[in-house]
Amino acid sequence: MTDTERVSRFILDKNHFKAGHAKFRAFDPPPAEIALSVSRTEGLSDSQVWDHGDVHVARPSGRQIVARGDFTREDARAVQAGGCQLDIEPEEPPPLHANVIGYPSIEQKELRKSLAQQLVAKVVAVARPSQT
Amino acid sequence: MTFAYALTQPAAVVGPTYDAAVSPAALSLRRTIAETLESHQSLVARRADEIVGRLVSELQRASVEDGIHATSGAVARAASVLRSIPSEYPLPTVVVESDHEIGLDWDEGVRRVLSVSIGDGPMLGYAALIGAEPSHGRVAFTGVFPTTLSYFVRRIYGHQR
Repeated sequence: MTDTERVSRFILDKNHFKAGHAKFRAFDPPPAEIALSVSRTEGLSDSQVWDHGDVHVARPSGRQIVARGDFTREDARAVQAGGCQLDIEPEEPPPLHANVIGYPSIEQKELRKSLAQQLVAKVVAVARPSQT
Repeated sequence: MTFAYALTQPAAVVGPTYDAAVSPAALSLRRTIAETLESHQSLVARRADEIVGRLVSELQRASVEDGIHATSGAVARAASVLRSIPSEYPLPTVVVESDHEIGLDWDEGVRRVLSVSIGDGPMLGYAALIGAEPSHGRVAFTGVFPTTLSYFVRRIYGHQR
């Protein structure tokens, strides 16, 4: 995986995308986890990215995609605080799946939030086009 | 879930019973003071309603949509923290977090954000990103809105106030 490869975090909660901006909470892993799921979308067309998210992220969770946040491994690695540094590590299945790693456990919740806030400041947020 | 909510009433600053002034100027001043007091009390009541409304509606939303319930201790402490926020500060968005704590977010964009986590304990966790400066830590809550959090709220809204 190169430093400039694009990955996408699909946003399923409407409260995590407001006024064209992704919220940091969409980039904070679930409490029991220390990694954040993303998809390796480099090279996919825009419609292919949404289709991939529908099949591998939205459908299994029974929810709908509201938006996505695109960023690179370089962006993730630039996020550091409290001795933690984020990075991206491919992990399949499902296809094209990867994890943003480097988050501490929930006992350091404030640090996790800080890392999420720094990461979301680097992403390019893309709203899901309205479907007809 | 129910919880008690005590309104802080402003102390009385005028006592008509002891005010014998009858000049037009005195009457006018008395009327102005009464109107100001009434307006202040109305503002305090509206803000208290807004605080309770935000808390209750998020508790209901999280329960119904996400199946997440905050602990009763977190709810009581969140009400205290919300009540302690100086009236000149905007109220935050209330979020029931996945670990059953309550989050308060002042979020004016990806580089103007403060998030406070409230659980059962005496400490409040916070994380902020203002411009390129990240910060995180814990502060004690003793009933007064913590100075550290005040600093970040002021920085988020500093350009407007």
